[in-house]
Amino acid sequence: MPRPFRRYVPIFPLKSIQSSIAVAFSCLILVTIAVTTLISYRLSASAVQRNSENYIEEVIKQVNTNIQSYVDNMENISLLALTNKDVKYYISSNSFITEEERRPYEKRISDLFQSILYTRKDIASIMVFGYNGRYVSDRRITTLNPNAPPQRQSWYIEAQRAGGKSVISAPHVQNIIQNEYRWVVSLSRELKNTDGITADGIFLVDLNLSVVSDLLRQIDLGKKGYVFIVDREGNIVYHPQQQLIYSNLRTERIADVLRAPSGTSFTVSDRDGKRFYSVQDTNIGWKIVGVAYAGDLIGYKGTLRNSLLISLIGILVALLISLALSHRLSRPIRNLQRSMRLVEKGNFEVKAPVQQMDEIGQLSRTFNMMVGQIKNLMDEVISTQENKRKSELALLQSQINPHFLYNTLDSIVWMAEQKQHEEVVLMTSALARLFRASITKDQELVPIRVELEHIRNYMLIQQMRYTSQLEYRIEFEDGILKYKTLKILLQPFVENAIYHGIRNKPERGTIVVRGKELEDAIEFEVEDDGVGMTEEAIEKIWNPPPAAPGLAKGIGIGNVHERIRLFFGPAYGVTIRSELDEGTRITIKIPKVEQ
Amino acid sequence: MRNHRYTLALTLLLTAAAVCAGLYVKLFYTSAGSERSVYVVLKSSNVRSNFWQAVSAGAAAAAKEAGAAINIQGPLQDTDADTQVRLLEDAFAARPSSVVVAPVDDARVSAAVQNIRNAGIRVVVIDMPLLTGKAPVSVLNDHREAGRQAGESAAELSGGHPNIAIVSNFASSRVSGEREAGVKEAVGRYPDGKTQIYYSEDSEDKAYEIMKAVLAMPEPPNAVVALNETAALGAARAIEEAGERRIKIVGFDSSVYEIRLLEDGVMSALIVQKPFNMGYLGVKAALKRPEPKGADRVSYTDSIVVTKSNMYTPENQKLLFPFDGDGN
Repeated sequence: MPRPFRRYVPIFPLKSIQSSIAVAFSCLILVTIAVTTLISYRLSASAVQRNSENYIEEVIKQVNTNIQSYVDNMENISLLALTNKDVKYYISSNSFITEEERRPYEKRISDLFQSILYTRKDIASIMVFGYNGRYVSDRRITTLNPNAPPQRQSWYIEAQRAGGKSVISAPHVQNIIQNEYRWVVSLSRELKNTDGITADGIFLVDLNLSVVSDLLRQIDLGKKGYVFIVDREGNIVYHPQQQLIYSNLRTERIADVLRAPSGTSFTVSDRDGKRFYSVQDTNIGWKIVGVAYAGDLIGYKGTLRNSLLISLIGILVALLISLALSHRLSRPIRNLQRSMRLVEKGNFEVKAPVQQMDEIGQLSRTFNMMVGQIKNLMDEVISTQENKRKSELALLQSQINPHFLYNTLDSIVWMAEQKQHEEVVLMTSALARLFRASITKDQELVPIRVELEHIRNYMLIQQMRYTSQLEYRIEFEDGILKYKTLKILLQPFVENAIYHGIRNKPERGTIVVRGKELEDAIEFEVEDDGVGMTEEAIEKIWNPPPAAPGLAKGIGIGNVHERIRLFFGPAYGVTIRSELDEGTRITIKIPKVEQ
Repeated sequence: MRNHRYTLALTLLLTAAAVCAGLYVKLFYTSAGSERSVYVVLKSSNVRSNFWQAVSAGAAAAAKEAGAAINIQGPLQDTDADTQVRLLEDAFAARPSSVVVAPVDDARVSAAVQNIRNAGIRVVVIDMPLLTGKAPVSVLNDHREAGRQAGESAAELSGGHPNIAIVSNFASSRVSGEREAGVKEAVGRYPDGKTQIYYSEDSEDKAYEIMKAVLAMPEPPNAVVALNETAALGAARAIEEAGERRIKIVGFDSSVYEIRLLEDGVMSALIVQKPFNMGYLGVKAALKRPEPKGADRVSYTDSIVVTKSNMYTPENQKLLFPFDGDGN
């Protein structure tokens, strides 16, 4: 069983090479650009993520350092108080400062605190509470809030519990001074006696919370980014939206933050958007957390948008280039195709342009050579045919009808028997001239004068043969005699007029042979008043039925017409007008050919 | 063939466009909404008004969270309808994507709001509903609920037998009217609950006089609910002077003076609203997509009862002492 023929299926089933090339290029370019864009998008996205994580980490470290420096500063102030003799004496339980001596002590301590406060704008207040019930602050007169005894405040209790180590509180409202409610962060510390064991009182430094909140607010973590602080237990120390969190209108990822070690960051993606959390521990137990949204990090959007724009332009340019390239590549093919179509229509003068010596150029060259060859061969065939035909016709032309010869000789014999010597001489000499004309083979073209002579001789012979039946006139304009015509052109027409027109007519017939000059041609007419022809007969003249072989035939009118056209071109030739019982007129048109 | 080529080019361009569109969508997915803007017109932009400053802070916090641009305006006086109408016209001219307004009780304000709504701008009303006209999406202070809380607290303080003097400011005030109704509703649940209403005309001295007169009555009430700050301060002064610690006062809002009275024990409880939340929720609602028809278009922010014992919890500190560096 024969295997089914596997058809070749092209990758791009399009009708033109240009389209195929364009599609192929465009696909290639599109895929390349898409892949490159995707990869660069991925790369830059991850680079941006890494960078922003590093950036946030740096920023949060900075925040940590700043907060630490505030705390250190408070610590230093507390050390100052710790080592100050006046403070020590003033709160010492076993000192013997009398009521009179108290005022100068108070004033000195207050001045000290005040001078510290002048240099530090971030400190809200500095106070000392002795266990002996005395207290002093940075103010001259300190009125404590009767409803908020210091002993009940958490910073006081925490400091007592820490036993000499400093304690940092969460931000709170400091209400121990009457009519003052300030948001502060407190550092408190128990002061020891000179022996270093007995505790004498509590020292308190309050840091304005606005310092911290300003610091956190100034941090630029994008449009929506923010910083918040939680303590070790996960209580919020500071959050820009603390109220919302307390009202459960907002949640914060505190559990995740507590789990994250210091200096690390993690990514959260939920319905609020993708964001990075960067966690940093301070050594006072707070965790500072920076939150930045992936969407609004600086440069993130802009860069990607630009790169996308560039690739869009790239795609457009690539498409245009691919169209132009495919056009350019397929143009020689299309040119060649156009030339081929012309050749198909029979125009062998076409030359396909050869632009480059690439494959298509070579193809064009080969095509041109081929067309040239074909043209040469065609020309050759045509001229061979023509020559053959011409010589054939010439041969036919030069032949004297043997019947004519026989009849003429018969007439001569008959006239000789009748002792009509003059007629015999006349006829014989005319016959001789006729013969001579037909055997001169040297030239195809003869002057009209010679042709005129020939037709006269012929008519003379025929008239002598058919004295009773035939009359003739020859009317040639003198002006045309100098031009040339084909040899023995008119004789076949006259012969036909006699044999087919006049001889079958009962009465006498007349043949008129005319020659006249037209504007750019010469026209001969052979007119008889014989029996004429039917349409079918005329048709038969133009398309004669194939003659039986061996039967010698005279020169057909068709042949003469063909000979004229072969020689002079298609503008010339023979026309026939004929009426039954009226006669026939043959018109032969040839060009003016000078001597 | 020519047709073919055009189809081809078109297909390619469409493909390219689709690829780019896809990437753009991916790129802008996270940052959608950066073009949104909110115009907030408050009753007051006075920096001394803790309440409106907190509203403003909440509004700014919501805008920041959504990545929207915000413009907060307000007259200096919270009764200045002329200025508020002008500000609303400014807002209309600015063509923001949404407008949040805390309307002054005036028909012209309602008309201006309606005008903005007609232009297809989303409007959210906060604090109090419009005096007239259809209600757009609202985030309101539930004053009636606050009144109920006050009434309930006063009833508890009076040992379950409330005989309560209500000191209001004006009979025409809608806020006070709502609060008063809430107090009455709470007291009404007690079988022997009694209330008596007085109007201080927003004057501390008038409230003081009223309270003195009330204390001189043969059978004075056992609790006072003062519906606003001036009334509370005046009433507290009278009671403090009379040394009548038996009479408990429940006040509204949270000024430093009221806080001190609370610390001193003269004031027994304060009903504190959550202005930050109101501003936040108002702007958040303004930036939301329009809700389907028939959805609940009105939401309320709650109030809390602050007493001496819970006033220094972290949550209540934030409410009572609006730290001016707060939030944004």
